[in-house]
Amino acid sequence: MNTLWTLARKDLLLLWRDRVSLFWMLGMPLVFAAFFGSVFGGSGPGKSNPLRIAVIADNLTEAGRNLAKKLDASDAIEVEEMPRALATEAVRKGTKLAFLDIKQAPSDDFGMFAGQMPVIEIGIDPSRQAEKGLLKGLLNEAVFSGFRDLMTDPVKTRGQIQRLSEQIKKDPEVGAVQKIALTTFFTAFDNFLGTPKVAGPDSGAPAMEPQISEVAITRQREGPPNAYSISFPQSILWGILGCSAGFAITLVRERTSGTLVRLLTAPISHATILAGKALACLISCCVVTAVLTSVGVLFFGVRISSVPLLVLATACAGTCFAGLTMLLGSLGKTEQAVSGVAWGTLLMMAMLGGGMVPQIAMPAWMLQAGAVSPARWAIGALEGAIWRDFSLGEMMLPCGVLLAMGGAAFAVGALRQHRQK
Amino acid sequence: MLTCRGLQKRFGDLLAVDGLDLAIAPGETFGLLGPNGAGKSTTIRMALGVIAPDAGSVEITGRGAPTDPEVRRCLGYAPQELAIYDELTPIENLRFFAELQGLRGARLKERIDWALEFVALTDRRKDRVAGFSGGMKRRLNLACAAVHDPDLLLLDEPTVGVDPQSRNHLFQTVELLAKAGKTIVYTTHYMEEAQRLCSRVAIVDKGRVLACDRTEALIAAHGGRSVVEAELDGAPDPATNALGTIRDGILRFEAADAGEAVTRLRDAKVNYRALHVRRPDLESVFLELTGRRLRDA
Ligand SMILES: Nc1ncnc2c1ncn2[C@@H]1O[C@H](COP(=O)(O)OP(=O)(O)OP(=O)(O)O)[C@@H](O)[C@H]1O
Ligand SMILES: [Mg+2]
Repeated sequence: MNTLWTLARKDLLLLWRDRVSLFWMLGMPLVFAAFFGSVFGGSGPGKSNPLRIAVIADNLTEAGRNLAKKLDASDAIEVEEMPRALATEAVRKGTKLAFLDIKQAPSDDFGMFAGQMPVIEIGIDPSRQAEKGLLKGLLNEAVFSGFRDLMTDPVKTRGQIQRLSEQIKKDPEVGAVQKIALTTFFTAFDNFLGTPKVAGPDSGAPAMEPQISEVAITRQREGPPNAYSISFPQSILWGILGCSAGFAITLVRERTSGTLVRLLTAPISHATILAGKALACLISCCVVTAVLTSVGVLFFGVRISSVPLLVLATACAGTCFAGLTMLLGSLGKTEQAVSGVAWGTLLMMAMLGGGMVPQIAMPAWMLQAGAVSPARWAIGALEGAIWRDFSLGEMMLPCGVLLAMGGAAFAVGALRQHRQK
Repeated sequence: MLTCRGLQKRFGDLLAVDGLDLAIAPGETFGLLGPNGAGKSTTIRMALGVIAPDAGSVEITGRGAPTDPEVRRCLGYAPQELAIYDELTPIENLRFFAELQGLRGARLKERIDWALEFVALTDRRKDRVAGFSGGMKRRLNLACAAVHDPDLLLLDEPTVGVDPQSRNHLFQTVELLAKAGKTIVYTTHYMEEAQRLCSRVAIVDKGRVLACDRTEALIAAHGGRSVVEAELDGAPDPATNALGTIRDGILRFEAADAGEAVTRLRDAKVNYRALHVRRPDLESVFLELTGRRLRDA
């Protein structure tokens, strides 16, 4: 362990004095994060978009559908019908803010007056208080807009009351006493409505409310709070790529300058020498991540949803690229050759993996193709810890892939270097 | 101290080392003298266990094969290339290599101070090596080989690309190491170096040892006679002509030594202004053994 640290410390010291490599590891990624974050910052997802609501289609009545249409008419809301199972999943995943199960809606505007208030169930993440308030307000407005029409248009109302009176009179199931009571009431109300200027828009909402119940659906993850939350994980990836390329080059430099032979004459194994290099690479990846994340948090409003998971993601991504460094360092005989091959390979990986075009903006086929790129899993893990709210279980996939890829690359790279030595 | 038996190494079609035997005794300074491409560096690397021979064996006497890390602890190696880190200071370089050898604490500090003093770099100990002259880098390269106080030092052309002053300094350093009882294997293609520093020399060419003995013994056996050059005063007479060849007023002939040369010139009554007697050296030995000069120049 002492020896490993001796080896790694030497490399870190050399790196510290190599301003060009430092720029690729820290300077360039920082510029990248700040630039792309600000370019896309104006249109941060979820800012001016309408609330996206699912309406449960399972037992939706015609009246319910009408209510949904009223909601949809508002600019602030976008409604889509879907089965309950899908709707629940959509809310959980965050593609929909909430679902509405309209269990009962009055068949026409007047039904509401007759006491048939809508019964609606809202499925929403309890933590989303602000959006919930907004949604309830919009819902009330849609429900009562019909009622208000009713109250502000006495002619229409009186016609309906008379129709209702006639119906009651004819209905054999209504008892005689009730018939008298109701007819009296309707006549009185008819007279009331006949009085001019009694009802206006302000008195449109009586103390009746739709019955709204809530189902708590914990949302899995939220969208990135701002564009920097996307550009910073990308920039961390670039920093890690910078470390990987930088150390791959020092691997050849060690060979061409003759220091490797000197190291090999020390009482340590070749594997230890390579492991020391990998350790130095891993440490620099972690430092780069720590610096970039701190800058993101302190100056660009990036919020880290889980620091322990970010540490895990960093360790796995660093391990993966430290392993790759061994392979890249074995792919050429001169510094120039390795530098070319390393950056070429890493750029391809970055391109496929969301280092340039953010993963959330990638077409599906590209996301799938990106699965071969460690960069994609690195960003996946970093975003999972920074804003995707991954659980430990969800981190296992990207982290596992990273460790597997890194381990394989280290093994192949170390074997090749051993042969070349 | 070091025994190589039947060492062989092939690089593709090239047989770089071809059945080489060496037996180096403790405390001696042993020279491997040969032209470029003779296989000296390859031999050294096999002796260090860095590259595996195709055939033959290496043993650090009484300790085992150098492929064993523990055996390597007693070896110090100064590669032909400058194997030091340019962006580190001498202290940092020395500390790094010493720590790899397992040195820690007070002993580490003591050895670093010794090494800096030893190669006269104490004043520059905190400057980056990148700004050093070739000679200073060579000295540090040597110091890094000796910092952990190894018993056997393998120095591969330690004076390559160095000005005469630095070279002299390096010679003194090697002599100090020898005086301290270290066993030294010294490769070079400068016969003067081998002649000055080494008690025994192996002459290698094309991967084989052509001759191996004490320097004087090699010269006595293979160096031939001294070459005498006399600058003639006046026109040569027949007796002078009979002594050797004359070109541009200079008479050349061979003799066992200077005494014999003077006697023969006096006997032939030769008038001369100046006399040069060139004693045979390792260069002559190499010429005699291979028909070629050590260096193409
Ligand atoms: N790794 C290698 N791959 C291929 N050929 C090699 C390798 N190392 C050495 N050689 C060849 O083996 C031969 C011996 O090389 P070596 O370096 O041992 O010679 P040397 O005596 O040290 O020469 P010099 O005085 O130039 O250092 C040379 O022809 C060289 O080109
Ligand atoms: Mg050599």
